[in-house]
Amino acid sequence: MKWIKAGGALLITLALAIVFSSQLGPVPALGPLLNPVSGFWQSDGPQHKPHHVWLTGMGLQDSVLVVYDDRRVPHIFARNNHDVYFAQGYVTAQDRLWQMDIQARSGAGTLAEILGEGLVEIDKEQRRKGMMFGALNKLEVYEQDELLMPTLTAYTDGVNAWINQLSHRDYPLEYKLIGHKPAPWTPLHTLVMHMNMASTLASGTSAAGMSNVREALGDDFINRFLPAYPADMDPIIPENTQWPFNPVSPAEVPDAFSPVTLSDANYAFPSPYLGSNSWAVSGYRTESGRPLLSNDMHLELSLPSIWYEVQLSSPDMNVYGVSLPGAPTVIVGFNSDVAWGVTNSGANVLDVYEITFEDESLSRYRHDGQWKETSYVVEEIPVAGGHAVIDTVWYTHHGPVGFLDRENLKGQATQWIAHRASVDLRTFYEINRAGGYTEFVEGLQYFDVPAQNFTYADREGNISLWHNGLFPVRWEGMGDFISDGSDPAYDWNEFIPRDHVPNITNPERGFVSSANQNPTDPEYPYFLGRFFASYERGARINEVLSERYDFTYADMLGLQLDNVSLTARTGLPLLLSLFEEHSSYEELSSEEQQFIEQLRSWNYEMLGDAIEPTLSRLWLTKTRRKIWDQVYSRTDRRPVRYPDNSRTIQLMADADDYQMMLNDFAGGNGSPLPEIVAQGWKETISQLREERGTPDNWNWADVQNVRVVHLGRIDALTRAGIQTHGASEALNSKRGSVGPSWRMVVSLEDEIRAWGVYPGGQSGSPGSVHYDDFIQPWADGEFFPLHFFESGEEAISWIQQGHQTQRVSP
Amino acid sequence: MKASVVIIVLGSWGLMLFLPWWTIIFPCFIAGLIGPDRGYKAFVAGLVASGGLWLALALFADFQNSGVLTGQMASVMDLPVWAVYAATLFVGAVTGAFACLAGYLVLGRGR
Repeated sequence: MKWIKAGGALLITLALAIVFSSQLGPVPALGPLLNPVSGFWQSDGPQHKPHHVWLTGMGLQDSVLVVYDDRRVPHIFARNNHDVYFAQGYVTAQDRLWQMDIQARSGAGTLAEILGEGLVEIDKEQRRKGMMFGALNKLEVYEQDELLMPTLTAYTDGVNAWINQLSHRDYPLEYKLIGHKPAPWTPLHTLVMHMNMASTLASGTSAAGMSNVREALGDDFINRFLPAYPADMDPIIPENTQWPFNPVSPAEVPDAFSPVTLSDANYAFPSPYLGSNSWAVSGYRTESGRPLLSNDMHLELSLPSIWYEVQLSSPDMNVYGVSLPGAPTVIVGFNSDVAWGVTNSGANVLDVYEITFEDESLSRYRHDGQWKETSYVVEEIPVAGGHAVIDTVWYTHHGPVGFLDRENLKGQATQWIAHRASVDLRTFYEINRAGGYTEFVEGLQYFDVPAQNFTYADREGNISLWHNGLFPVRWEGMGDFISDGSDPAYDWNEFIPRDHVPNITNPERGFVSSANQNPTDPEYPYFLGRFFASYERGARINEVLSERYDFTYADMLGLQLDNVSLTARTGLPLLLSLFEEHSSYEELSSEEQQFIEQLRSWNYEMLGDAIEPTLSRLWLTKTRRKIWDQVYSRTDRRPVRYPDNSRTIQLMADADDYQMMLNDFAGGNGSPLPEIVAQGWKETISQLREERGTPDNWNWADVQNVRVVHLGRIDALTRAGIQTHGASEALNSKRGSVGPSWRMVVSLEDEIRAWGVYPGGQSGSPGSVHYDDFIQPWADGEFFPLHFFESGEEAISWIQQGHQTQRVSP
Repeated sequence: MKASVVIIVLGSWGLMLFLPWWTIIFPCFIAGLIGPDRGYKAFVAGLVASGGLWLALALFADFQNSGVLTGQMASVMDLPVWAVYAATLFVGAVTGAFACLAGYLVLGRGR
């Protein structure tokens, strides 16, 4: 009996030890998680007040000083370039390790390895997209680069020095929740991070949607309603600029190609919401007589943030700005002489090709009248708690075959500029050290993808903008549709020489600006692609910058927060006047009449606490949809690309144009515009009532639901429902989980002054006060002065004097 | 009983600093071997000492962090904060209690 009892107690003890050590369904292993010595209780991350540390040993060549200011921005002072990048890797991993790991896994297609079979399809997609293919191609040329490979290696060693001294107790919270541990970092991981950026900004394509539109409606429709050079565009490089060079000629334009439809083919359209604003104002338009530079990049808002603020100082460099966790250098920022910012280019750098295979072996495909060999890569996708999944990816000279129809021996391959070998980070290495315009331009040549509008200003008074990247030489329309993979006319043979890309320096109008819109007018001798951002933000910047000659930095902060919607300013008066022509206008309830009155007196500012933005946006969206559905409902081909707001508004303003559109493309059928606008209004009101109840719940901020989303999609660690102003087409460009991811203004005076803010916090640890401490200031339109120290001593004395960063607002 | 509590607290704490959480069953087991003269006392000693240690350490960590992390963790688990403490206490206390009882029963002292 005694032994039975003792045995029973022992068994229960062991069972408890085992059960609490095991993950049970969605419940993580409770023992390690709740262990107060090494479990989640210890994953608090830094709570530090400002302080400084000296890093030594670990592979450093000398000692490195890191001074953390009161916002936990590390200011790194090193005695050589190896050490500065080593330390950058070290401190970034300290604050952002889990983010770096999960983002690298997401790009490389190894999420299932830690998160299980639910992620296999996502991993597969990344591999078929050629993410690793591109990263490996890049690694080969990095290895030949005498500056960048040591930089990558030093950064990698710094990250691993941090990882190597971690015990379970120190792991970021997310690892403890999923019961995993950080993997060692490699230079390839950094290049996968670069592929992620390229994927976010330059991998969308309208080709499938456009081929469907062409098939159903023809080129005439496209030229009129989906034009490459919209009538109201206000290009980045002012119209009528001369291009003093002999352009490289493209291939002969082939006959239009009709692709077959692949049922499972699925491509992301370029996101119209990922955009950015940037401008530089020359000294004769500023109060100080010195240039001002402004940049805010509209990206997916995440926690931890996509950006990590840092100052890097070594004997040949002193630079401040934001870095990408996982990559060395500063991506956007300033040094003691120059400042730069970026906005994304909408140029088409991803083409989709229809491939015809010879037989079921898929070993040969048609090209230039011959059968050519394919190659293939067997992708092995590891799966946590299961067997690895094998996926074969076929390659043509265009690129990887993403979608296959084996029965009909057809496939679709993508050729993507990001697949090519390039040492893009070298651009930032060079610009971080640039002392002036010449060095800035020399640095740009290394940057191929994702193509950016680099805005520049320096203390000598120069301002400049380069639409910079690697672009294939295209005949007009090339790549707009699914391309014929067997016809060499669609091959990428030559690329626009770097000194031919659109650029402008010290223009007469006294400013340069970009907001992702068309880079040039049609006189520019190369065709870059069909779809750039619509004109609204760019035109608004130019409108305001043209007005004055006494701009201050506060004006620049203010302009970033400008909420005026040119879409509403042009579209709403038309909606209102068309509505008046309809009989139902006379029958509106008193409440609806009140709404109409409010809209009439509205100033088109997309304010979070107003309902006019909600009504105007929804009404226009519904109207636009209804107008084009009259045409698109005549085909069942999907997806299709819709004409944008601005073209729709032009159409609404021109009754004849509208009637011709119906005659030519809707078989003469269709509703009169007042009828459509009236229906749009009715549906707007009923949808709002249905989804949101009474009008006190219709405020724009509640409809927008601006949010900063946890990268692991853990709701509790996401910040949602942020009360703030702005809209995608306004300069204060926010929409859901997309918005200004880093706001920066730099005044290039004798001593550079700068301000910045991003919606997140320096620490990736949800237990840190620095996890989300910038979100509220960001939402309230506040900025932090950026502390740019000349020396380590200055930085230490600044923190020792107990300074506190005071927020500023315009 | 006092001796058991001291062995459990010092032993568990020391082991947890370097080894996985479940190694607390060893000091608890040993405390059961040498301390209590009744089974229920062994059980209570494990329950109180191990649970108390986990709770105290958790409170200390929470205090150092001003409660930020516990709040986040509670919302991740969709529980109130006190339940996160209760779960921590439960894992430490129950494991410690049975380990200590097992030690006591194996030696078979008392009546």
